[in-house]
Amino acid sequence: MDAYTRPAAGVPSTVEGLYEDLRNLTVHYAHVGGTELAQTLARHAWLPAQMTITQGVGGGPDVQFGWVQAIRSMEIFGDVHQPDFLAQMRARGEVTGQIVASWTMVTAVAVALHTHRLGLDAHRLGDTSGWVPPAARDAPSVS
Amino acid sequence: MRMSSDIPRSLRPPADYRPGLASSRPKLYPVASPDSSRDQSRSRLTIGELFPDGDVVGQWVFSLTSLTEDLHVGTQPARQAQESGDLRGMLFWHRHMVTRLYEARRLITAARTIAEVHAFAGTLLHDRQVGRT
Repeated sequence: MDAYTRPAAGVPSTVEGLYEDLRNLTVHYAHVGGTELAQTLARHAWLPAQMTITQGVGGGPDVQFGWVQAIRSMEIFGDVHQPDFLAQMRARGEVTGQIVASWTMVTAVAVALHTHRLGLDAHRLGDTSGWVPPAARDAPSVS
Repeated sequence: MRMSSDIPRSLRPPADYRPGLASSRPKLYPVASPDSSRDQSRSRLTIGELFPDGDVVGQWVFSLTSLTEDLHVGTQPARQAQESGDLRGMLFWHRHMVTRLYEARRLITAARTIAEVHAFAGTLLHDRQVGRT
């Protein structure tokens, strides 16, 4: 998998690529007045601008701004109307799922090794009978 | 910032809404049993035992479990959002998962640059091919 390895100098790793795709619109908010935000809005100016306010669970308002969802999904996942949208989603989910599965495996082994290293009885950690880390090749698709 | 009286009625929360006040107590983390000092071999481990003060490998393992906690809390909701076509949920959980995976690069950097962690985790990461930065 080597998801954190840069294939060449200046070329982002798989994880860096995933992160760069979504950073500007979902982790950071683009600068108001900057060209990036203006260009993003202009790029999707043709999309409908919809919002809903409904009564959510518990009686409070459930507010959804469809234009935010539309722009973010278009930028990150691509156009849902394109025929290859689901295939792209699935591919992205498989990559993410494989990385998650590898980290899970590393964690399970690391905790066991660490406990042994300190001379502690691993049974004192609690019930870990259900923790069977999946092999990376059997990883569920998550995105 | 607008005061609540300025907010349109349709956007106002219910009169009895109290942000941050949960209606039920969350499931609490168990405390050490009273007899733990008498029979330590059979009692629950404490955080102090598992992560001794100053143990950098323990700190790395703790960080690793923090990462896995964050990844696993999002796995099921991400899958449900995808299966139900919930675009809003898909975006949220995708952001969560990818930012956590991105932050995890620090664990790999620590395994490369801290000798004790490298001795403990280097082979583990190499075998799993989690990768290098």
